[in-house]
Amino acid sequence: MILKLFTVLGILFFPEINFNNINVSPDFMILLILFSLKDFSVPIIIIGSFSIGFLKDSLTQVNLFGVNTFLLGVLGYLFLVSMSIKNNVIKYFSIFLFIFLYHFCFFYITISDNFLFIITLSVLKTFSTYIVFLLFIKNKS
Amino acid sequence: MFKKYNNSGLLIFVLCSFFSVLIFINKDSLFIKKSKSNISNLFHLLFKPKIIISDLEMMESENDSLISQLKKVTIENKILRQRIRDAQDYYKYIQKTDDSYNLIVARVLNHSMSMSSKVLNLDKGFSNGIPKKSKAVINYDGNLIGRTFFVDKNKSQVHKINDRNFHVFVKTNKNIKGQFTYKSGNRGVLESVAKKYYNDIIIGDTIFTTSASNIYVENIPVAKIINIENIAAKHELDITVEILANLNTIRNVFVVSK
Repeated sequence: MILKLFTVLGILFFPEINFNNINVSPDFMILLILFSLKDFSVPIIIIGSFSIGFLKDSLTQVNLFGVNTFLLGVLGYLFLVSMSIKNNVIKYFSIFLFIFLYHFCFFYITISDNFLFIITLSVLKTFSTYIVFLLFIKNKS
Repeated sequence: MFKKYNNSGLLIFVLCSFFSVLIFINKDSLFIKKSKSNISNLFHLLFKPKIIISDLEMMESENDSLISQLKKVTIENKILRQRIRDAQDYYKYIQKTDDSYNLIVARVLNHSMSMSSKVLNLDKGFSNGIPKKSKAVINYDGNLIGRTFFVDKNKSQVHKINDRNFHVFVKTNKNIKGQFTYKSGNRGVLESVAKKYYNDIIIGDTIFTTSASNIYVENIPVAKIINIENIAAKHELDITVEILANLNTIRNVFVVSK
């Protein structure tokens, strides 16, 4: 519960970290989905992921409304799949990979720049999110 | 490697994916735009109430300024509508006017500020076809306003009917002749009418210009008889008339020449 509270506070008050005018601060909405995986049932997690995506779209998207809804929904489902992996190393690696994929897809759709820049952005955003995730998990345990 | 996984999750995932694609396709629909704006406003209100309040205050002041602008535009609109009506009236008059008269349309530039001489200036002169010699000036109803007395190349001055020195020979519809002289307000007198015509002149009759002068063409309405008195001490009838043209609201006139 405290983890989720901190995540919500992170969503609301965490400052922006910009790289080439693009926000690469940790994505606390993804973390909120991750920390909710064990507390709620599968349908609620999936619907929640889509709802969070919808909310994000409502607050941020103008031209590509629905992108976050779809991507975060898929991500939520992939997280659920990754939770069923018994091997912890593979599980955490798959989480990292899914977060990277999510950011890559998002930046690929929303930013019209060269491929390397999109990869760099995705890696930065994924690392910042994943580091916060590991910090939270470590403190929890 | 994998735990057992519930298939209901997959079904919900597919449904939600379908829903999100549907949202993406219909992102330009009014409902989606409205929902988006409502959610955005709600969060804006929750986290930045001060900005919302200042925005509302700004909107209120903007609204006030727009209301005042609207009032101005409404007044302008009324004036323009009146001008359209005037123009339509001119058009009607031109259509029904006798072709033997030459009408030159002119715009009134200004009225003389002097109280002693009633003059108005027109925007046309002899280069626009206005004769250099004095000619009658009428309004769109065809009523006499005055006569031109100084014609420049591009401007003309009109001696108005409500000047004390303005005189014009007139006749009634029964061809009883006299002289119109302005007195005060919108009133004048019909002079030089013999007492024998007392029974032939009726209150409400209109007096017209005669063909006696080179200035005025015949039958331009000048005034309406409003009072007739047969005073014993006088040699002629005491006839009061009211000028037909409204001289305060003239914007465009016609200069009449044969």
